[in-house]
Parts: sequence; C-alpha cells; structure tokens
Amino acid sequence: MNLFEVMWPELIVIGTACVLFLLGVLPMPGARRASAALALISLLGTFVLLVYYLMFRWPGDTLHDSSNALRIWYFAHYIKILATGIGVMFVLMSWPTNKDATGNSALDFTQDGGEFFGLMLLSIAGVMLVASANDMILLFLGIELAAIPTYVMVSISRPLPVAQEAGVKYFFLGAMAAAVMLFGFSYLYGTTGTTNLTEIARQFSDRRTAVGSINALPLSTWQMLAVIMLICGFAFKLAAVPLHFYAGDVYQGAATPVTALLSFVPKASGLVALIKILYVIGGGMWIIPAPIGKLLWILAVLTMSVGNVLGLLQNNVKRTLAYSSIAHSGYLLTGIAVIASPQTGFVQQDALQAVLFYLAAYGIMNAGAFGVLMMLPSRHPKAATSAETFDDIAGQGRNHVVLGLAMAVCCFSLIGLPLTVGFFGKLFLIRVQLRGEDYWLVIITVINAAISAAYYLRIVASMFLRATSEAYPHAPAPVGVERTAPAPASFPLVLAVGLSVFGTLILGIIPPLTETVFTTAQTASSLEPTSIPNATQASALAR
Amino acid sequence: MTTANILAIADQQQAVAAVLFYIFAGISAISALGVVISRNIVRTAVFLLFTLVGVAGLYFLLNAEFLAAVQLVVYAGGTLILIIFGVMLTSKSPFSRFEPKAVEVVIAISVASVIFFALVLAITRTKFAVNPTDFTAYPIDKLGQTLLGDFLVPFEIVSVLLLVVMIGAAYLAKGRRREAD
Amino acid sequence: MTSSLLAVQLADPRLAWAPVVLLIIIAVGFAVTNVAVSILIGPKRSGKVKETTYESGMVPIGDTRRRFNVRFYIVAMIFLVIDVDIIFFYPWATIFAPYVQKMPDKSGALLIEMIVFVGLLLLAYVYAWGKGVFRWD
Repeated sequence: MNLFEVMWPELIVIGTACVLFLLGVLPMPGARRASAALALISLLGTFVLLVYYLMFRWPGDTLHDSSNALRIWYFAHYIKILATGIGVMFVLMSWPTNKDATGNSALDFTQDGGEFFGLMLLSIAGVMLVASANDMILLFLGIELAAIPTYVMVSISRPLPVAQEAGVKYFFLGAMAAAVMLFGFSYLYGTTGTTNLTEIARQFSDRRTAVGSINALPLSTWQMLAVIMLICGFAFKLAAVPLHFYAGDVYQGAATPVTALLSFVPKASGLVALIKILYVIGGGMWIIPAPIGKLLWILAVLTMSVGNVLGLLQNNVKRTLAYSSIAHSGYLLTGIAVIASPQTGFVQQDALQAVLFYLAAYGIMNAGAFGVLMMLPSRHPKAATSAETFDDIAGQGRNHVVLGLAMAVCCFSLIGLPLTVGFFGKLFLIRVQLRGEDYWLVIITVINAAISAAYYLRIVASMFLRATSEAYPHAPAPVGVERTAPAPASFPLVLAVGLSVFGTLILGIIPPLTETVFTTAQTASSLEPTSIPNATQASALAR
Repeated sequence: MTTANILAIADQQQAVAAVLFYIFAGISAISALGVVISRNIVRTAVFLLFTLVGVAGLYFLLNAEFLAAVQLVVYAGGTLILIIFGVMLTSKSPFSRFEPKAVEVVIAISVASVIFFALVLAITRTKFAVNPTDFTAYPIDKLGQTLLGDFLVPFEIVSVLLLVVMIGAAYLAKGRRREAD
Repeated sequence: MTSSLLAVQLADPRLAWAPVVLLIIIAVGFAVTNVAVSILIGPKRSGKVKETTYESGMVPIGDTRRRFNVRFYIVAMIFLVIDVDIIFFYPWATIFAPYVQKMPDKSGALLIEMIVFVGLLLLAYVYAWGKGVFRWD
C-alpha cells in the first residue's frame, strides 16, 4: 500500500502546521485570523478524510506501509477521528476574537497566533501518529510530537509569570519522563532485537507456544524493567499518581484553552501507547504477566483516589479540574487494569471497548467545562486571564443562566450522573470491572465517583448559590494586556461549548446513539484483524 | 599461516579489545564519579565530557562507529556546550558551588543504589537477543539504507520534531514581541 | 576451518582504527610529557605579571565570572539543531553516491527524501529569521 495513502491524514495536519509557522512570521491580525481558520479547515478536512477512509475507502482493511512501521486498523482510526474531532473543539476554543486577533477572553498569544495554532496541530498530529505507529521508534516520536509543542504552548498562551513557570516546569519534567520512557524502549529493543511491534508481539507469543502454556510467561528481568520504565513514562503523560505532581501547577498556569488541550491530547497519546505496549507484551492476546497487572491496578486505584481527594482541597477551579482530570485518568486506568488482569475470555476486549468509550466521553464533556470557565471573567486580571478561583465564578450562574446550565451539564457528566454521556462511560467501565470479577475495584471506583461529586457540585453550587463577588467589575485591566468585556459570547467559543454540551447530552439521552459510539469502540477494540499475523503472513508483509 | 597462528592472532585481538574496553570503561566510570563528587559546576561539565568520550570509545569497540560519531558530535560536542552556555547565561557566578545537604546525599545514594542493583540483577539474569560482538552487524551504508528505507517515516518525523524544537527555542529566546513592534 | 578463521580475523574492522588510537596515544603522551617535563626540570619563578590570566598578550579587562548575554543561547540552540541534522546527513551521504552510480532511478527518491528533511529545517530558519532572532539589537 502506498505510503502516502496511509499517511494522508497526518501529512495534511503536519503540512498545515508548517504553513501556519510561516504565517506566524507575519505580524498582521489578518494572518492570525487566517491561522485559526486554516487550522480549523485542516482538522475538519482530516476528520472527514478519516471517516471516508474508515467507512468507504478501506472498510475493514488494515492499512500499512511497506516496512510495516504504520499499521492502521479500526483502533487507530477511532483514536484519530476522536483526536481530530476533539481538536476542532480546541481550535474553536482558542479562536482569536479580540481586537487585532491577539487572543480571546482567556487566551493571550499577542502576535504569535500562527505558531500557537501550528503547535496545536502538531500536537494533534502526534496523537494520530501514536495511533498509527507499529514501530517503537515511531511510537516514541509520536508521543514526543504530541508533548513537545505543548511545552511551548503553555508559555505562549499568556504573558503571565505563572504561565512561563508552568511551561518550564512542564518541559523539564516532561523531558525527564521522556528519557525514562526511551530507556524502556531501548531495553525492550535490546532484548528482542527488533523495533517492530508486530515482530515483538510474535516473539512473546512464540515463546508461549514453545513452552506450550496458555498462561502468561514471566518476562525476563530486563524486559520487566523495560516495561516498568515504559509504564512510568506513559503514567507521566497520563498524569497518573505518583507522577501527577506537575499537573496542578501546569494546568493552572496555562491559559484555559491550553489546559483543556493538556487534559486530553497528551493523555490520549500516553493511553494509546500504553494499550499498544500491553498488547505487545501480551503476545497479541492480552495475556499479561501478573506483576504488571498488579502494578497497573495499584496505579489506577492511587490515581483515582489521590486525584479526587486532592480535588476536594483546591480553591482554584482550574486546579480542581486538573485533579479531576487526574482522577479521570484513574478511571481510564481501571479499564486498563482489567485488561491486564489474568482473566480469560473476552473481558480484555470488552475492557478496551469501555476504555475507548470513556476516552471519547471524557474528551467531549471535559472541553465544555473548560469552555464555560473561559467565558467567565477573572476578578484579578493581573493574576489570570479568565475565571480561575471559586470566587471568580461565584454567582455567575445566576448572571448568565445558560453558561451556568452548560457548566452544570458538564459537571454532572464528569460525576457520571444519568442522562449524560459520563454516566454511560462509568457504567461500561464498572460493568467490565464486574465481569473481570474485580469487586474491590468496583467498590473503589464507586466511592471515588461519590467523592468527586462533592467538588463538581461545589463548582455548580458556587455558580448558582453564592452571591457575585463585589470586587469583580471594577478590577482594572493591566497595562499592555488586551482585555475584552466580561463574558464575551464569541461565536466560535459558544459553538465549542455548545458542541460539547450537545454531545454530552445527546449521547446520554438517546441510547441508540450511545450504542453506535459503543459499537464503534467495540470494533476499535480489536487492535488487529486476526490476533497476530503468523510467520508466512509476516514475511509477506515485510516486503 | 597455520591455524594455531591465526588462533593466536585472534586471541591477541581479543586481549587488545579487552584492555581497551577496561581503559574506556575506566575513564567513563571515574569521570562519572567526578561529575557527582565535584562541587564546581564547570568542573562537573568537564568530567562529563570525559564520561561521554569514554562511552564513545566503548561504541567504537562495539563496532558501532556511527553511534560513536553521534556520541562525540551531539553529546560531547553539542550538549556539553549547551550545558556550559547554560551556566554562563544563568548563573551570576559561573563557578558557583553545589553544597548538597546530608539528607540529599543519603537520598541520592539510596536511589542510585536501588537502580544500580536493579540493573545488575537485570543484566545478570537476562539473555540478550542481539550479540553485541557481531562485527559485521551494521556497517554505515546499511544503516543509511535502513534509515531512508524502512525507517523513512520516523526519519522525516524527526525533522518535524527538530522544527518544533527550533521554533520553541526561537520563540522562548526572543520572547513575546511587543504590540508596537 | 582455516578460511573461516581468516575471515574472522580480516573482518575485524576495528583494526582499521588502530592508527587513530595510535595518534591519540601520541597526542596525549606528547602533551602529558611536555607538562610533566617542564614541571620537573623547568625553573620555578613567580611574580605579579606571571600570575595574571593569559589573554594572547593583551592586558586582561574585568572578570570572566559574569553573566553572558542571553542572545548567545539562541546561537547555541541553532548550533545544536544543525549538529543533530548533520548526524542524519552522515548515513544518507554514505549511500547517496553509490546509489547514483548503480541505481540512478532510485537516487531521485533518495534526494527528495533528504530535500524534505532539509526543507523542514529551512522552514525553521525562515521562521527564526522572520522572528528577528538573527537581529543583534
């Protein structure tokens, strides 16, 4: 299959990003408006192209290039469609609506709109590459392509010291995590002698066949070390406890649209890479050694619980949402823990289906919460560009009822209340936990959902039940920082929040639609058409 | 030339390689220790140089000439210069000294020893798939063919990554343009 | 048996580096010997002028222990990126000439692959230029 045909979606996004960098050199407001429009068009175009690929061009085919470094099956298409779809929302949320197009109510990239959108596209292209990658080198490059632009985006997003600090912190810790991950990849390569994931999976499955065991074979100590290092690296991207410590500061420091992006794009890349590596370690049949399963179980429980408990203690809404996003990583990891559990049968595939559905649900509902936050003004414009603390949002639900209701919908969905997509997300996860007969995990997940309700409801309650803070309308705008009037209802932003809320509700209220997404996730949950291509197929693929 | 002669020559080569290995490994290990022990940051950087050069020597011994060249050009040449630049640009006195607290020393030693024992355990227990002494494994032209053939996509993605890095660096160095600009 | 051993012996390409090793040994030995000998047998006199920093004959001004201009950072960064780029040129350069001679039809694709690689880097250059990174103001 032609390399170009396989890679068109990625090529479009990367190519557009390159054009945007050139546009970034031009200092005119028109260039910045055009940047946003171009980014939107390219993501929408890629989205359509991916849907066309999946449904009409190659329905059910595995796309791969001659060297088998890229393999695209339903799984990759699902992730890529999700990434571009949610990416459209991020572009809408970052739409420059200020005078001279220097940013919007939350974002202030002054002249650097072109770079900003270019970096955003590259980050999304990174996730797409991770989804397509069937080679360790490409997998690593994809993860880094998703991550490195975000380091710069955090600093670009607003001219406040807190953003610069967040950017530097994120960069150093991210580089450290990347180094550990690369160590893991190199060890895995050293013990298997190949970087191709299919090849490695076959080695693991062959070893099992040679011994004649249907259970997982223990990895060699070196491979165990490699997998643990890889899980460390992915856990950092997922902001999983104990590698979550950067999340609070970085999410708070970045402008709100960038925070929304950070809470989805790097996470998706880490999650997808984790799934791929587990698939490979399991010899293509999800038969994963018990110690790794236990490690992931502990990681999931810790991430959920610590994320939710710390979320309770915050005074800053963005920080609360940062810990909420850690907790959601924990929910996703519970699904991964079920995949890695020693259960036989089809639990693994069902668990992956639930994880993929949850990822989509999380992406849809999370963007809305940040979008609403963006539209509310801050009481201290010097410390923030848009609403950040609970005082900022106090009473705003009564001033702007629609915004309040939108936030309420997103929060209810993040809790997992019925009539929202979050409910089905949690329902499916808990169902596979039950099928995996992991009752402790079920209990801990339910307790966590209850804890999380406290701080989500606190957000909603502040918006509706508290009086508006007095200080707010008179706070002067700082010199040199363009600010628009409070609660600017710009069309792209309203559209983004509208899409998010609409998606959250419609997928929660109309079961057939939920069913459709869920079955799509099901087809996506088989990473390969057959479990693993056998030796003859593989040699045919090799050239 | 008799078989015994050739065997003797092969043995000699092995011995020379072993001696060189211990020399390079010794340079690396001792300099690495210097990096940790030295409290003067510039000296630390110079010790790091010898560590990296020693590792490059080991790559040469393993017949990985390309890797050795990369090690010398990028690490000994590039990264080290960046470290020195970092010191020159940030610190008020480039010859500032590290004064780690006793607690930090204890923590660092314990973390390092845990990692050390984990690695020793892993090395002694694992059988590697690739034979490191395979001389003919990867000559440079074969590497080129692989890089521009099977690994073409990663190769081009690397340049995209470099693009991002350079744009990020340019942006951060130049800072935000003022509105009037 | 003999032939295979011969092959092993002749195939050891590390032997090709023996002159380089010899050169390094000679260079290091020369430097160390010179310093050691001058310490051992040279006269030891000290004075105020002799203890000043050697600045190629100039009288040294000020202190080196000061902060340098941040602009040097971008120079270092660009150097490093080009440095990494050169590394990727190396394997390409080793195969390009043989390809042109033996398989001219394939060498075009090879050239385009490198042009894309360099083009992306050039883009970064154009960006940095437009951004005024090379302006020394």
